Amino acid sequence: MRQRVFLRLARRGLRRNLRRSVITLSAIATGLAALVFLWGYVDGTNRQMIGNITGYLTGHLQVHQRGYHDDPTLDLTFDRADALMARFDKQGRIAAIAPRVESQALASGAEKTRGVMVIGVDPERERRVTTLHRALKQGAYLDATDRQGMILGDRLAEILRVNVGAEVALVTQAADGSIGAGRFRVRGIYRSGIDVIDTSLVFVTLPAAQALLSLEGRVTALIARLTELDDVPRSVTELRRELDTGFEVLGWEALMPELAGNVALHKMFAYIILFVMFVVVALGIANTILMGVMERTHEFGMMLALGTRPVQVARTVLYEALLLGLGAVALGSAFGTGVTGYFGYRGIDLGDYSQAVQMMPGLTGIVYPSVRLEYLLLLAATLLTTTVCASVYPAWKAARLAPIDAIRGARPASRTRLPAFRFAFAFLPRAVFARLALRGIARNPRRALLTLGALGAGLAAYLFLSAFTSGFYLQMRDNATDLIAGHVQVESNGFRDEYDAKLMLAQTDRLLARVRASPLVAAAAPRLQAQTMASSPTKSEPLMIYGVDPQAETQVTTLHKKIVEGAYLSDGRAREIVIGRKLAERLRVRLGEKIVLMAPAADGSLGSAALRIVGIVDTGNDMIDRTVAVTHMAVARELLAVASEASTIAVRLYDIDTAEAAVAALTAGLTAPVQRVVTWKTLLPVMVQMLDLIRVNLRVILIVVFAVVALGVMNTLLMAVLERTREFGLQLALGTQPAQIVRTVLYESLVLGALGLGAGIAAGALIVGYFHTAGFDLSRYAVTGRIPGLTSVIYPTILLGNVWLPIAALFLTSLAAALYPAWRAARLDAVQALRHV
Amino acid sequence: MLSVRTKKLTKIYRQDSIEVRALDGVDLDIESGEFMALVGPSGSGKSTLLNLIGGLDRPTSGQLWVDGQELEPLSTRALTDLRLRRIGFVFQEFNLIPVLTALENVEYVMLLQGVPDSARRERARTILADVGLAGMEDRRPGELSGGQQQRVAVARAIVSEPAIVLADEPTANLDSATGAALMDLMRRLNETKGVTFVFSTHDPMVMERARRLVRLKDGRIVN
Repeated sequence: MRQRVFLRLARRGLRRNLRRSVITLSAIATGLAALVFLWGYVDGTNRQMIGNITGYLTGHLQVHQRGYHDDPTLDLTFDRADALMARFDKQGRIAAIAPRVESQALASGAEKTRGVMVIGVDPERERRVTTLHRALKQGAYLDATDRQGMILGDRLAEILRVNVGAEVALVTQAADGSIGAGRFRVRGIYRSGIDVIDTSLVFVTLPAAQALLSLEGRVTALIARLTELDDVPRSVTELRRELDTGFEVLGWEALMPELAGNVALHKMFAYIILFVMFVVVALGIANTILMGVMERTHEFGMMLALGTRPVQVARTVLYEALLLGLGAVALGSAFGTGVTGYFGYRGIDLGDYSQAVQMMPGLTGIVYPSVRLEYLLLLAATLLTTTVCASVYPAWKAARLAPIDAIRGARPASRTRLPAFRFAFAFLPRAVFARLALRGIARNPRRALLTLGALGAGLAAYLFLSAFTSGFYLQMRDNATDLIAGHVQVESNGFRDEYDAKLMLAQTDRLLARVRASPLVAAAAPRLQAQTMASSPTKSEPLMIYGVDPQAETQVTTLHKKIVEGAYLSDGRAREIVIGRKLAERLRVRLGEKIVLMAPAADGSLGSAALRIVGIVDTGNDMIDRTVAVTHMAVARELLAVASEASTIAVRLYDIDTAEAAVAALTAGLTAPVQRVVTWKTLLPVMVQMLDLIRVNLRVILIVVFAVVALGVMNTLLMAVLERTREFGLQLALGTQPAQIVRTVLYESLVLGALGLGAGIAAGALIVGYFHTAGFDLSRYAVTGRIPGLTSVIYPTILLGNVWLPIAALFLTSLAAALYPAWRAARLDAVQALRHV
Repeated sequence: MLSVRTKKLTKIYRQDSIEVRALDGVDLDIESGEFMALVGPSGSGKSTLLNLIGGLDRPTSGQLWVDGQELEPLSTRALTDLRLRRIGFVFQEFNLIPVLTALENVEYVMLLQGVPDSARRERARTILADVGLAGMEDRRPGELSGGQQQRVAVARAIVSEPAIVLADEPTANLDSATGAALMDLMRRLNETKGVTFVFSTHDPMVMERARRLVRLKDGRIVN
């Protein structure tokens, strides 16, 4: 019963000051709603990635011969697939199961060739496991009786210049070491919206693939769909128990480590943001509740005088926070769920940024955020706890009030005088309203500190996020351009769409001399670039080969500095190649061994060359280490059957920021209209778009931080005005103009804003400075290898151009937030205000 | 029987380096059932003496007994308990908890004491009727006049039958008619229920109605 009275006091206390309660409530609720939305966005993205990629391609889990996943060679195939499928299909959690044969091959249309993954499927069973048959744009799905049938993605169809009905030839290395070749007809073209699936896969029937690869009756994998995605770990364990040790069972996380890594990176970003928001929200709550206690000093003092125990007073304050928190959590959950649900239904169209998103495996241009109950509950519980914890200090303060002072309304004289105020006094000798404002702040340094804290934390958080992104950006830009792309590139129009051996630069030497003559250009190197298939005795992998002049190339790019075994290309014209470590692992080749390159030559034939590996590089980037190699220009020319031309000229500038100017200068010098000059932004479009996407996300976060900080500042100032109603009333009674009162309140806000921003900049600079030196290690998220140019340690860097505007905006926001309380103070009725205690 | 006894009670406030002797060796006995006023100019020490008797503050030196209990050795918690059970307070203004109704304000002290639900409500109603506020039980302080608010405060002060009720300028914010009515009410309660009242005041109307006047000046008793 006694408990109930404090609860009642708390409830009525909240209702009595409805405006304050509503502001606090809305601050917490906005914070929670924002968190729910952000988490829903990240979670929705993750589930969509998982769902799409497992739905279209991998299934929820796969069974292979042991060792196949690490080294997908045709030596590790198995028969008895039908018996195994009969045993597991529709058993327990498995909804459907299907056999697969997968291998790398070269696919050729009438005039174009491209490295692809050929996948042999049992059409009837495959339809029950994956959803690609629903993504058909043209034609029909595979038919089990049609040995010649093939389906492929629309982007690959464009690249190969084929349509439904056209013929596509597949060339590959068969299981017995022979060259397997087959002719197929395009029966259908699908569009999944996922880059990997639309550009690099072809599907044929299982018997056709087995024939192509000399794998009669054998398969490389069984893929299964479960009734529930969340059942994967349990199902994997069960299958492992059932199958003998010759098999491996892998869930989607093991099948798609990049996807799992992306999910982890998203989660990490989400947690950083959630943490920052919590700090800002908690400060806002502590502030509001502290103000509430100060305003009611008299009331609490009287309760203490009547014999209420300090702990009971504290309990009243805690109950207030609890009630406020419960209300806010309910409101915030409803609001957050509503907003997230709306976008979950409508989808968020990333529009211009969709290319960046599509680079993430499994994502399409439209993202559907989703709310999960367990996340919602976790957020709500954490925020509620935060609210209650944030009220501990005000509660303790209320309990420690001295009853006599409290009843008299006397405040212990503030002994804290911040030096900054004295400094400011010195500069404002006659501005009496500025003085009043400064003293208003100085009189309650704790409140001032809390406001500063809220503002500073918001800004520091933003600075950190901005610096993290900038560091990410600079590092990716510099690494990607330094390693391989260069700052600008001269090329034939359309070259990079197909890497066609026929699209060469004419008069390379004259062009090169002209490029080198430009004052902006530090170095330029000619290259011959082509898509090839690289084969070892056991494996084949697609590979982008760069034929280079070693002397010129090392002036432009830094790949030669990443050699970890052997050496870079010699100056001679030897048939040698430098490859990445990941490719060496995949092909199972070592330094000194030979690999065979095959590529469609300019004369229409299939060129081939056997090259000795003289160097192995490790750039720390999986994509480069797996898909890029360099050889001599002469070797490449021979492979592609071209005479003395180059396909591109890579250019390093003295300053990468002059790239646009360099393009203008160099373009003016081009004679042939079929040639053009492009910057690294064109060379690395995916990277640029991904950075843009991060910038878009940051903008969303900043808006949320703004809202929370602005509400917090407004709240504090409103409380400050309410607390000083009597004082303002006195000023009005003495003949102060309302406008002058407004000025006083605005001055306060100006000073608080300036100091808060100063604190935020200082804190942000310290945090960024620390990580700028120490680095921010992302290696445990295992995603960095997928992103061109990004290595695993990020060094955050503040770019002034990126932060001055938000800083100014935050300052203006804090001023704007003060307008309402200022207006309110000016509209006080002097007589009533004087009666107010 | 003595309700309050003080011996050389002294209270010194220090503000920065200035020493203010608010009470200077006060010896005072207050019998049970007295209806007594402390009078004197501002700063004479009236409120300080009331605060010390009420256990809201501690003396610098001297001794003080309330209801036979010496206050000096008591812990803060024990002092709180003494205030709760043996002392009633009526302050100058804003006496009530603004979010509770008149009835709940009166119940509040009994609630802290752990008086059972029904008995508590019954007594609160009776007392409110005694002070002439029957029918106003459910009004909040904001809905009551100043005089009515002070009556609720008196009701709250006497409801748990304290040894002494301390009233610090209870009529200061009331017009003279309302103030007189409040004083008559307290006098009646003093006579019928035997409650001990000690006021501080400089209102002549209050002095007229007090049965004993103790004059203070510069922290000393002067009569």
